[in-house]
Amino acid sequence: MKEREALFTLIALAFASAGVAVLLVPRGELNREGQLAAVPRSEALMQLDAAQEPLTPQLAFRQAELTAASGDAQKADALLAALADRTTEIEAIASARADLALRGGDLALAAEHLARAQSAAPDRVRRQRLGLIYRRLGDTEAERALLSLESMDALSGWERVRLVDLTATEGATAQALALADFAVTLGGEQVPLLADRFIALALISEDFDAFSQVAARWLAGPDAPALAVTVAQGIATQPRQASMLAHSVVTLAPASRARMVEELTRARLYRVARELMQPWMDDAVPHLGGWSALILYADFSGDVSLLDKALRRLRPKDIVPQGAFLPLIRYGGGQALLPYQARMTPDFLANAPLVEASWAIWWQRHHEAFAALQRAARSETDPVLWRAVADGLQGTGYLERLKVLSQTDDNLADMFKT
Amino acid sequence: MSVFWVGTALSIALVLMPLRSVAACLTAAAVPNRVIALFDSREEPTPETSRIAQHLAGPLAKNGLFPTYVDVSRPIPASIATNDISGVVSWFGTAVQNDDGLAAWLDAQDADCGRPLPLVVIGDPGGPALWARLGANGATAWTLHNGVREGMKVMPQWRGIRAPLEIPPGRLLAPRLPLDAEPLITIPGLDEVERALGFRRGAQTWLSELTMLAKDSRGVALVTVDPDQIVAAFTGDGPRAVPDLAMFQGLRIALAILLTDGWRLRAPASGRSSLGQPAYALAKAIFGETSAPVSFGWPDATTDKIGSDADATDAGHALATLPHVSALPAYNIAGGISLGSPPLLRLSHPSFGGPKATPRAGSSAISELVGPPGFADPTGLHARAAAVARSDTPWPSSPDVLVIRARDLLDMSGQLAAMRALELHASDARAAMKIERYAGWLEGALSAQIVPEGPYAWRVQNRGALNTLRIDRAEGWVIDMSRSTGILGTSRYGPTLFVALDPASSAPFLALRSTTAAVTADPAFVEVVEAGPELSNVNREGCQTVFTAEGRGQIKFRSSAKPAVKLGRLSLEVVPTESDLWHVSLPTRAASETLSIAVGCP
Repeated sequence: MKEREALFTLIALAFASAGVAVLLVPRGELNREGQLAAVPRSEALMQLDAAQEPLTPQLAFRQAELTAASGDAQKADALLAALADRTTEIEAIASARADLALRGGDLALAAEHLARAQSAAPDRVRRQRLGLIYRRLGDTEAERALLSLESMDALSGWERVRLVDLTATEGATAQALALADFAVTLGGEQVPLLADRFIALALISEDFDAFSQVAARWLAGPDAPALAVTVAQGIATQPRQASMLAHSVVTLAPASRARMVEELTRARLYRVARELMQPWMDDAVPHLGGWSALILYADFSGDVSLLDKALRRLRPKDIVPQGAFLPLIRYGGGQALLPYQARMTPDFLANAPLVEASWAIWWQRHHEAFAALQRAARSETDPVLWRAVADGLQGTGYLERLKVLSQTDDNLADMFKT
Repeated sequence: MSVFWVGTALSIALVLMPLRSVAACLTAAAVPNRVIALFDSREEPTPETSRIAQHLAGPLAKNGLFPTYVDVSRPIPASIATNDISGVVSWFGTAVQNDDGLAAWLDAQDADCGRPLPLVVIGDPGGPALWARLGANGATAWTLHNGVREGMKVMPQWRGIRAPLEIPPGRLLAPRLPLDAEPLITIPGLDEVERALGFRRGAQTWLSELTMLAKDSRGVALVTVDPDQIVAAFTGDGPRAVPDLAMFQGLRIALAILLTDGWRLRAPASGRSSLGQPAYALAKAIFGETSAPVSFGWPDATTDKIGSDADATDAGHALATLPHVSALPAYNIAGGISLGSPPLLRLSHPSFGGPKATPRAGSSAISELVGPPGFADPTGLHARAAAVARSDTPWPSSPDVLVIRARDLLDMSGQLAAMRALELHASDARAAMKIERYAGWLEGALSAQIVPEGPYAWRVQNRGALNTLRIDRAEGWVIDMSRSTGILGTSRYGPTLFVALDPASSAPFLALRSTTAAVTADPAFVEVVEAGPELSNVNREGCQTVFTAEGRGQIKFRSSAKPAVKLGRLSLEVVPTESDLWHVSLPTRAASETLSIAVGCP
C-alpha cells in the first residue's frame, strides 16, 4: 500500500514538473530561438529555410549565419542584403557581408561593407583589416582618411608609421613631420622607424633647425640609445652638412656627445666624430663615456692618434680604461705598447690577456703568449684581432698547438672561424 | 669546305641552344635544378627561417629550382659542383663578415661554371667588394627619400602584386645606377642623379629589400614585387622543362591531412544530448567514410595527451588502421608542422605561403592552403576552399592541401567544409594521394635530371616517383608524340603544358614541335588528358593504344575519331565531351587490367 502511495506521489510530482516546464517555456520569438538552439545546426537551418512566415531579424540573421556555415556564401549574402533593408543592426550585417565578400575574393566590396561597419561601431581590429584591404587596393586616400579619424595614441605602432608614410606620400611634408615627431614621443618599438621618417623629411626639406632641435630632444629622452643610431645614420647621408648638423645637435644636447661620437663612428663618419672629440683633447682626461667613444673610434677608423694622446696624458695613478690598448695592438702590434711599458704590470696584464699575449710576443716570451691567447679565447674577444696577435707565433710551434687544441676546445675553435 | 663549317657551326648551335635557353653552366649535362642561397646566420639563425626560405623557396620550387643554403658567416665550402647550379641568390640586411672573401668565392664559381652565374642580390650586397661586383658604389648607396611617388619609375612587370609598390620616406639603400645597367625601379635622387631600387646588369640583378617586402598595419610582412619575376633570372628564355609538383595525369594532386589537435574536445551540447560529440568521434565518422586517401598525424604523444582516454585512443587506432588512412607522427617545428619521423614532408606555416603558395621540397616544405576565418567560418576552411578554386596565377601551381585539426570538426561549418573538400578529393576532379607518395614525388623532383637531347628535347632520368613534367612558356609548342617516348599524354593550361609520364618508363623522352610545323597526323593516335585510374605501360602499336589501368574513375583522352575501348574483355561506353575529346568510366576492379583504345581498327 505504501508502495502504491509512493508511486502515486511520484506520478503526481512528474505531472506537476511537466506543468511547470510548460509554464516556463519561452513565448513567441524567444521560444523559436530556444527551439532552434536545441536542435543540431543543420536541422535548425532546414527549419528556418522551410519557414512560411517572414522571419524576424534575429532569426533571419541566424538563417544567414547557418547558410554561410553550410558553405553557401552567395545565398547567405543575399539573405543579409535583404535583412539590411529592415533592421538597424548595420555593424553585424556589414561585417558579415565583408567576410563573405573576402571569401569570394572581392576586396573592393569587402572594403565597402567593412567601412560601413567601422563607421557604425569603430573597432581597432576591424580598422586594421580595413586598412590592409585599402592598401591592397591601392586606395591610399581612403587608408589615410581611415587612420586620420583616430588620435595618434589610439593607433598601433605600425599604423602610426603607415599614417606618416601616407601623409608624406601625398607631399604634405610639414604635416608628416609633425605626426612623426609626435609619434616618436609616444614611444614603442617603431620609434626608430618613425624617427627615420622624420629625419629624412626634415633633411630633404632642408629644415635643419627642426632636425637639430628635435634630435637633441630625442637624445635627452628615454629612447636615446636607439634614436642616436638613427640620428647618426641620417647625418651620414648628408656629407656636406654632416659637421654642421652633428655640432648643432651636440650643442643643444651636450650630454649626448659621447653617444653621438660612437654612432657617427659606426656610421663611418670619422671626420665628424673626430671633430666632436676635440673638446676632450683640451681637457686633462676624457670622462668614462668619452673613453669608450675614443676607443671605439680608434678601433673602427684606425686613427689612433687621439687615443694615443689621451693615454699619454694619463697620470700614473689613473686607471687605464678597459680595452684602451687593443686599437693600438690592432694597428701597431706589440710594438705600439712600448710607450706604455710602465703600465704592463703583472696585475694589469692578468686582466688583459690579449694585451699580455701581444706584449709577450714582442718580448719573444712565446710560452706566455700561448697561455695568454688561450685565456683570451675564453673571454669576449674579437676573433680577427685574436688571430692577428696569434699570427705572431708563426714558426714557433705554438700557433700549430693552438690549432690542434681548437679541435677539442670550442673557445679556440671560435677564434679560428672566419 | 665553307659549307662544312657552316653546317658544323649550326649543329653545335642547335645542340647548345637548349642549354643556353636554360642558363646552364658549360659543364652541365642536365637542366640545372639548384640555386645557391646565401644567408648570414648572424642575422638569420637557420636556413628554414631565412627570408629566402620564406619568400623565394616556393617560387623557386615552382620553377624546378631548389636552394642549396650556404651560411656566409661560416667557412664557405671551397667549391660547389656548379654543374647543377642555375644561379646564386643572396639576401642580407647588412654587411657580411668577409665581403672580399665572398666576392672572390663568387668569382671562382663563375670561373668554374664557365660563364657568369645569374646572381640575384636582395638588400645589402654584403660590403664594398660585393657592391663593386655589381658595378655600384656602396659608399654612396645610402640616401634619403621623401616618400613621394612622383618621379618613381617602375618597369611594368616589377609593379606590386599583392599591394602596389610604395617606397616609404626614410633612409634607404639606393645606389646610383651603374652605367651599363638596365633600370628596373628608380627614384629621383637628392643630387638630381637618378637612384636605383632595382637594376639588372648582365647576369646580375639587384633589388632593394623595400621593393620586396613591406609591413602592414599589424607589422606582418607584405610581399610586393612578384617573386616569379625574381626567379625568372634563373630560368632563361623559351620553353623550359621542370618537374611539376601539382598535377598527376592531368588532375590536381590533393592531400588531406588530419591532425589530432583537440582530439578529445567535445562539441557544444544540443537539445538532444546533454554532452556534445567528441572531436575524435566526428573525425572517425568524417574521415572514416571518405574514399580519399587521408594522412593522419597519429600517434604522437607530444601533440596531444590521447593515451589517457580509452575511447579517444580506440577511435584513433580504428581510424589509423583503415586502408585509405596512413598514420604517421606529426609534430610542430619552427614555422610549421612536420609529418613522419624522420620527416616525410613538412608543412610550412600559413604566413609563409597563403592561398597561392607553392610546394617546397627538401629542408623547406609544402604550404597548406588556408583561408582566414570569417563570418560563420571560424576554421577558415570554407575560405580555403574558395581560395583553392580561385588560385589562378598560374593555375595550378600547387597541390590542393587540406589540413584539418580535429578541433575544426567541432563546428558545423568546419564539418561541412571538410566533408565537401573530401568529396572533391574523392571525385574525378582530383588525384588524391597519401602523404608518403607525395613525399616520394618531391624527392623525385629533387633527384630528377632533365637532360637536353637536341633542340627542345629532353630525357628525364632519376625521377623516382615524379610522374609529371611541366613545360613552361610553351606557347606555340606541343609535344611531338612521334618522337617522344614514355608519355601517357598532355594537358594544357594557358601557356603551360603538363606532361604525364609513364610510371613504367625509366627514362622518358620528350620532344617539342612548333604548332606551325607541318606534320602528318596519325589518325590512330590517342593521348590521355585526364585520368583518375592510374595508367602505365603505354604501348602504341598500329591502331591500338594499350595501357595497364588500376583503380576506378574517369579517363578523358584525345583521339581524332570515336574509339572502341575495352577494359580486359569488357567494352566500355565512350562518351564524347568536346571536339576530339572523349571519356570513359572504369568500374571498380580488384586488380590492374589492360585498357585498350582502338581507333580506326579494321
